[in-house]
Amino acid sequence: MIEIKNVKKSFGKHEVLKDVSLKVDTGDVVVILGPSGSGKTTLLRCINFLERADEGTLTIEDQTADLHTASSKEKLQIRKRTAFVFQNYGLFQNKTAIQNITEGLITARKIPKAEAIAKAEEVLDWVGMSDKRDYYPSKLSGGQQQRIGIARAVALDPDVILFDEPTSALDPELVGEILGVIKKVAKKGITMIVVTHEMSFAQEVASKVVFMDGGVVVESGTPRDVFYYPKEERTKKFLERIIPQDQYFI
Amino acid sequence: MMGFTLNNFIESLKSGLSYLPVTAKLTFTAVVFGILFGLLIAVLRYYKVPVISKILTVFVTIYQGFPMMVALLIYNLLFSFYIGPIIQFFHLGIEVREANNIIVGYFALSLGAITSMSETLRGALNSVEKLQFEAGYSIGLTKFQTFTRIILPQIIPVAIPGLINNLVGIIKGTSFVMAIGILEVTNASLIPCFRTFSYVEGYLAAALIYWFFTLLIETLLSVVEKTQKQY
Repeated sequence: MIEIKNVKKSFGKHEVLKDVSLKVDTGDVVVILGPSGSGKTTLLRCINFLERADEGTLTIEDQTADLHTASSKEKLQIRKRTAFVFQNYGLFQNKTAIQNITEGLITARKIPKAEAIAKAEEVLDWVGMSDKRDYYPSKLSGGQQQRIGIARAVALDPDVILFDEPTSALDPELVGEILGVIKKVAKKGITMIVVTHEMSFAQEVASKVVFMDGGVVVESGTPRDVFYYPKEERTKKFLERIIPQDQYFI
Repeated sequence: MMGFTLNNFIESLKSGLSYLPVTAKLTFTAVVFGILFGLLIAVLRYYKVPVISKILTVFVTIYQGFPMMVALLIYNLLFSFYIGPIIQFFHLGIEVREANNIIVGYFALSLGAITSMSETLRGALNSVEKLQFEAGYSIGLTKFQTFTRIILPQIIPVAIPGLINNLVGIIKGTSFVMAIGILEVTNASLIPCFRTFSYVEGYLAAALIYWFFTLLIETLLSVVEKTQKQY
């Protein structure tokens, strides 16, 4: 169970998050939707301290941390319980595909090398990248890099994987295959929080959809509730613009 | 009319070459300090360590505009003023006239190398995407682990051409220390000229030695550079 409470964050005078709370049950796939600048990505980055929130608490299973005052030790503990999939992949340029995966296992989690390599090979195979085992990221396509990025997150066996617009930087024709990989992750029962603009993916995979705008959660519920029976005017407007009218009611 | 006498040239070349170890030692020392402290300064400034980074920024900016020759002359002056009291204070048991001012050369060259190399390394550091740091933190690496395992290996190939450029500058800069009377390649190449007045031969001999020395080091380092280009 992951619970985020009363998160606030400002960049200078601009208030990006105004008191956001979110509860995610184990095994849930939460999809966060919303226009750009609504604070979705910032919220995700606050959860694993890539951004320091001004206020708020985070509970992951038995551990609670203050998002503003957490010590570096707490920060590290939380980071070891979470994994992040970046929009621009974020693979270590100086490491091969397999080293990208083993790094977090060996260096951060002190898992024996042989065990880490075996685990990494298993995950690489799972995302269909075994043949690219010893390639450097610069030799891989965006889609291949994102597969490795997802494999790196899954191999860490975290309590939650945070996806920050994982398909936004990809060629349109590659989006589908990466969404396919993310669906596979969801089927494994891993808790996920996904920021995306892929509506059909949200409908199909999400157990809960959260609509954010202007730094607050406007509406949340099952995909069915949010997509077909939105209560808030703001949500309706957003969906009208994103989903073509004829697909609105299926 | 200036003439050219091969014998005088060879004599100057021999004399200059016999002091190549002094030039090499001055260069080597400055480069080692330059890389170590240059990296330290670059890192402290990159991470914007409070107060210290501000002080270093001011120091590097000011020192970059300080000519090597002027620096050497000032340090040498300070050296000759204070070496007596320093020897007394630390009970070093040597005479003032025995104290070798080559330390002034080491000091001035090292400080120059530190400032210029810190800028090269900082530039290389800036070339690494923020995302590389974040990716390191996201998998649970500490700041230190992220720096040593992810960032440092990436800045080395970027920094090498600039560092080689700094190194070549240092090699040539060592010739300035002749101004404070230290015998190194330039000064030593001129020794025979005091007797033969063959200054053209002396200067050309010095130039040739620097040229070969620089070429040798550049060739050696280009081999290192090639091994770095793996990704």
